[in-house]
Amino acid sequence: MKKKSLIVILALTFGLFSCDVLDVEPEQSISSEVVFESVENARGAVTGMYQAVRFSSGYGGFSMMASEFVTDNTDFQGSFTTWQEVAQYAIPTNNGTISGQWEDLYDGINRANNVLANVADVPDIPQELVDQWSGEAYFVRAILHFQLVRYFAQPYGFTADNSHPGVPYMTEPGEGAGDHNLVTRNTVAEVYENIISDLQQAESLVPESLDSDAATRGRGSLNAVRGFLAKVHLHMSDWENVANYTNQVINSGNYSLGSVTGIFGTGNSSEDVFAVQMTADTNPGVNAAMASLHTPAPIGRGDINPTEDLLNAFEEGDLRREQLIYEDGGQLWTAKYSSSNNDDNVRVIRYADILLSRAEALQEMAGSAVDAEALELVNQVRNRAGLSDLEAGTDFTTGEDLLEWILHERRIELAFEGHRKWDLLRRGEDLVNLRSTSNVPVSYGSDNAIFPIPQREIDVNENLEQNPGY
Amino acid sequence: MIKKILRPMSCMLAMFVFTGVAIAQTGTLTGTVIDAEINEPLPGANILLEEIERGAATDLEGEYTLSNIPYGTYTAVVTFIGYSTIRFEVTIDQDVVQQDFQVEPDHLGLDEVVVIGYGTRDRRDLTGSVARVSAEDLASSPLSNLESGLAGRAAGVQVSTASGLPGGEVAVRVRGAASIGAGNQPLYVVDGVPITTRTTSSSLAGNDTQHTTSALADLNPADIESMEVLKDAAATAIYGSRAANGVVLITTKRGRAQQTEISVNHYSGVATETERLSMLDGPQYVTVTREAGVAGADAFPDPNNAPTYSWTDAVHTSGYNSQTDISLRGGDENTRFYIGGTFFSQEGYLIENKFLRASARVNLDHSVSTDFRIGANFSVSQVDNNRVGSDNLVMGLITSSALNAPIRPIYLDDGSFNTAHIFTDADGNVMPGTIQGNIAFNTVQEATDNRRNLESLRLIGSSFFEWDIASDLELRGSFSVDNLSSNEFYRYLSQTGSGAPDGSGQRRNEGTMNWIGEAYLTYITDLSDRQSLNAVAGLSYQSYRTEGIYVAGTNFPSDLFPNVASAAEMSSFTAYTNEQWGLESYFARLTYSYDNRYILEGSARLDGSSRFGADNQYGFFPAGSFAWRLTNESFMQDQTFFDDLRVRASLGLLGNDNIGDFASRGLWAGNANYAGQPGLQPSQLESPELKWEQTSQLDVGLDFAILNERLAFSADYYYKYTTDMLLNVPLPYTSGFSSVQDNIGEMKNYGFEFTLDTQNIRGEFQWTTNFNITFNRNEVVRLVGDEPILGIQNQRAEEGHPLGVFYLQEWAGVDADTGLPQWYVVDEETGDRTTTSNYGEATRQHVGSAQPDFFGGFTNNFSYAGFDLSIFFQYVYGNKIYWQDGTFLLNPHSSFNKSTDILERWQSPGDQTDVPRFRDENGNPVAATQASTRFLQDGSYLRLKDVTLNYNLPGDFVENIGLRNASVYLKGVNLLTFTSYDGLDPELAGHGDTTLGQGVSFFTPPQGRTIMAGVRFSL
Repeated sequence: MKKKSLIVILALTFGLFSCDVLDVEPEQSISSEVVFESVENARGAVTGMYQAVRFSSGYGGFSMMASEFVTDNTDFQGSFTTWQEVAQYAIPTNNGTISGQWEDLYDGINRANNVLANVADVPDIPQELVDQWSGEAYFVRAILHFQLVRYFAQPYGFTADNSHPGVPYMTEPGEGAGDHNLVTRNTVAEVYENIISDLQQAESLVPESLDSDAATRGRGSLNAVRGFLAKVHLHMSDWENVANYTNQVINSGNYSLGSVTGIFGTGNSSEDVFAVQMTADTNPGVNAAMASLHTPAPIGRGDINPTEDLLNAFEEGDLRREQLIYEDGGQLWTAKYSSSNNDDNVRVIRYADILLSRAEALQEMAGSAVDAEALELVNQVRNRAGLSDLEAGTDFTTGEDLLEWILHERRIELAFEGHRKWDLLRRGEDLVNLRSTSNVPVSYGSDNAIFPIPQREIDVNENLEQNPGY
Repeated sequence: MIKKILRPMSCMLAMFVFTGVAIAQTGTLTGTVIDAEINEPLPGANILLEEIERGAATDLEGEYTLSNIPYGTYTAVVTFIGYSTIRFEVTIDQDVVQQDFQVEPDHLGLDEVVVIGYGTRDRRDLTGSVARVSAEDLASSPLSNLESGLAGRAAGVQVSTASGLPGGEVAVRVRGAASIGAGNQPLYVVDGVPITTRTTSSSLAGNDTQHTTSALADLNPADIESMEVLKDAAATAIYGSRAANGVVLITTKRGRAQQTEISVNHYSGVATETERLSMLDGPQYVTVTREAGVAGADAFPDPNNAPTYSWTDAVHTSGYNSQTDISLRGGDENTRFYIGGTFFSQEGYLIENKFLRASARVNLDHSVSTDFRIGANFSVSQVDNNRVGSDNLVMGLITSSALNAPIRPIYLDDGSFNTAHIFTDADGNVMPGTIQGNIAFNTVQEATDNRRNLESLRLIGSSFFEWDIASDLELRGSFSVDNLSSNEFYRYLSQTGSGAPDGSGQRRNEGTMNWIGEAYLTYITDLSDRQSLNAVAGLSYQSYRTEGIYVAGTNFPSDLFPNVASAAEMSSFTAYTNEQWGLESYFARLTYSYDNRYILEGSARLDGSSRFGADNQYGFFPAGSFAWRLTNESFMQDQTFFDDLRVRASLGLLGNDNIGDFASRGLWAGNANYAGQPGLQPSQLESPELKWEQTSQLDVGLDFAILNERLAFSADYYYKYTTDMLLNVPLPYTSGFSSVQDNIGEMKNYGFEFTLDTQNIRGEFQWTTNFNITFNRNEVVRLVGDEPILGIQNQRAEEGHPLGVFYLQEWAGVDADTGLPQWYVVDEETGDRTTTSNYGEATRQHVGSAQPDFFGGFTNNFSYAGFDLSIFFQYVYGNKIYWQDGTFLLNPHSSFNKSTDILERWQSPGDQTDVPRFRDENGNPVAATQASTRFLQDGSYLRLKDVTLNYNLPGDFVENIGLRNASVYLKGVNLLTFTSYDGLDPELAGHGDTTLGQGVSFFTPPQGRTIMAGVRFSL
């Protein structure tokens, strides 16, 4: 009997360990199958898309600075070789920062595609969330492709039908190895069509307000989408649509101009239509954050300064010159980014940009005639900076004159904010990099005005065509 | 699908476990076991009645008694280490049956029983390739890592240790390396439990001691009966998806039915380093740095007055080893036990380096009834390793003691450590400030004041039962746990370089819980007079999990606070799971023997692993083999030349499951946060077809014994071809990912192994020799898109080349006319070789690898009148070592101290030397320490690894003082090394077990040269 009971115990032991040892779930990460099986995890996946937006490569750091320091606005004097190569328009195809930019942007696009492919099937998800999150994913997918097409392709309008190579427009989640990865570059026309289509989808899906002010201004809410629709059409010189979408943002009544200095720094302001939200823990870090690069040591790296040319462009009495430019250690710096924690939000679209875009569009459509609303809009921005109204007859006479004032105002108002390169190129103008060490003019349409497709990407995908000159 | 069928089966199998009890008439078997060669009784021999697994051992008079044996006919097996095993049929048909046995000494181990997966075999019946290292070979060796004991003793097994410091990781390669990314370590199985071999030390952040440690440092060599290395597919396939790198079976000592024998062994000895760097003294240092134009050298004291502070002397000390082990072994017919306890202490030859291991083991066997036995094995060991920095670290003791300027005092006048870089100038003025580019930290202080402690606690426990379901069918079941926890603690004090300014500390606790349940049936039967069958079938479940926490802090209130809790700033606090997997296995082996002439064997394992992709969750690993004993053929009966002659062949498939726990899964990671909200990001693409790396192995072997069993020879040819090696396949970034893992790579290993055992002289004076040699060739066959995979110091994996081939500029020596360095330029088209003194023009070439042409070992044993002398050499030939220390030691253009070899610099035209001039005609520095074959050296060596002289005290004397036996011994380890290698120790070359880092040394601490004396007795 004794033995039998012993054996029963042993048998039970064996019965126990025949349970499923193969059913092991990861604990440092979670399996992709379970991500879209709960609303909670799906929410994490939606939030995760915006991490790619706040990346240095997205709209958080390098991508916002590299469109300034290759122009007459700012000067990169730092020690990063890969950034120096960008600043000097001498970019080897294996430049690591650019390779990383390409990688990060498509990483974010893949996140958006994962949300789009799966969000509708999340069990028990309310329809409002499906709509909102899909809309946000369309928004993220659009704006990341927008960054790609601006950096890696010649501008819209470079060819008459925009048939010149853009970037691959990715609309499906990434899968494993295989020929499906050997994508080709869509034309610039196709890329812009897709961006607009995605943004219009988003426009139809997202609400005007999200669940907090930070979310409304920092994610793809309705006016952020409209702001981007205005911006994309601005790049296409589609003035009617610019006027239309800016009008919708303005008429929402949600935005107003703040004080010259109050609209920058940490937190959000009344002017922010879309601002990348940074925190002390989640920001591009000392090697890529706006504050670090624009602020002298010991707070920052002190790599980027305004050029003489920019400083000379300010009018006498401009508060933006007096309050947003300061001297430290014999050099001048912008005060738009200054947090020692690198948690200044990065304003991608703010109200002044909307006003000036509308002014530009209206004046373009008016031609030689002066557009009264355009004048009123530019004066709003000037007045906030302590400057007087532009006076017909003294300051300008024709519509063309006023347009010059609007573009000038745009340069001054939005300096350091990642607009200058695009504002020059979309108007067919040359880039002039007034570096302290060299003075390299790069004419519109020249090969080195845009980035090379990373060599690594060409090596892995034979179908990908390199940009001429690289 | 397979899973669905098999799991219920396994449960059913377990439920079959019950039986009835038979009652029968019994008798007693008794007698004497006698050594046939000298006609003396043999104490301690074992007698086992195979059918009922009842056994006893002989007493001091060589007598044994087995009582209560049911009437019947049994096979009595008489075994004793060093003697041929005999089998004898005995019939118990009366109250007392008298049976004496005569056993012959087995000098060459031809009759030894070897342990194989899920069973044992007589060596003569093996169809596979198994190397055995027995207890005697390991006894009393000062091993901090058990696996080091395999070096030179088993053909086909190459062993290199990461460092000569105690407890360092050991790279063991069985028949070459068969993987790039999935590891090359064999599977270690202790008494049937596949144990955790995870290193107990991961790199702590920042200032680590550089080398990881070996998990086998927790095992006590004194408890080991034998280590068997399973090499070919026939031997290893039963371990399936973990067998591709070979399997090491470690068997511990068990109890015997005998009067309790208490054995005591103690040794103590001293250890010094096998090699020490010869560095410049103060005057030489000043001369050389001035000649080379090192910045600041002009301010150094005049060479004639320069003082010398020997930093290398300051870090070296006299090491001390000792071990005391006590074991009790005994029991009766029903219950047998082995209890062992060992305390091992190794104080290194570097200051503050100590390794302590305390361990205990209980192995218990109990017969519940004639057909049911239970048992348990339990061992616990604790290791306390006081580590010191090594290799590429500013506080590495050898590194920084070598490189510190000899004119820099170690201590200030008041006896405190000199932490500033002060030297005294020609006028006796103390110069503050730095010697630019020199070692910032005071090495001696770093070792003395700071703590780098690694403690590990390991419990391996196993309980089992064996039930004879029928006379020829046994069921064995076991449940085992292997629990390894480690606690790593570093504390750097505020006044030390690495702890400045306010002190820092780190602690990491990590634990592995590894459990395994197994059950298998063994069926052994004679089908007829001539045919016998041995079948094994079973199942195994294993689950494994490692998790840990890590904290680090800086800014301590004072140095008196040791714990990280006192730190004002927590620089890191993290908890993690770093390994989780489960394995569900089914295995079987069938051996058919015909007339002791033909042995056919088939074995297979089906492994289901949580690591494999959903589409490939189960891997099947079959092997087939046969052996033909020609000497048992009738046509061989008339010949007398061969005492034994057999040929073997095997072919099979083996796996390597070490592909990462979740490599096949699509994963999303956290930490993709935005605006204070937690976010997720895809981190890995799903790869559902991902599976094990697969090696197919062919083995053909020949074994023979001749000259009346005075010469035994064994030869094996093997060919291993590995496919499905896991490699990263780059993806276009447009997919959102940079790469996906896939089973792509291919590699092959092939070679010959030979072992030769001879008994050169027999009789009162005896001399035996064991010799083994292995020739392995390795080639990487296929990678992703011809792209080489880069390793450490210009090593790479490249198609068509051996794994880890060095790709370097070739050094062409010093131009005797100009004194400038030269390298070769090879014309790509013509192959013409010219020389250049411009390094940038030199051509990179494939210039050899760390893999040797051949390696092995040989032992000579002499015995006479109670004295035994054993001399063991090991050797490696034809491997390359990148002597990275040389790039520092021979660089004149830094303020580091240099090797005295630099004094042989070129000085005037016609000088024949390998050290270029320091500056050219124009006074510009001449650079010659760039990576080139100047530092790639021949790593061949022959080492007198172990010499042991043992004296067995005379039997009469021993008995008079009440002992069973007693001996005293002297031992020397690493006494002599013959090598042309310029570095410290040619045996130590590898960044731990790093696959593409073998054959690289950087001030790697050499092994100790140990001389010790010991005494061993039992009562």
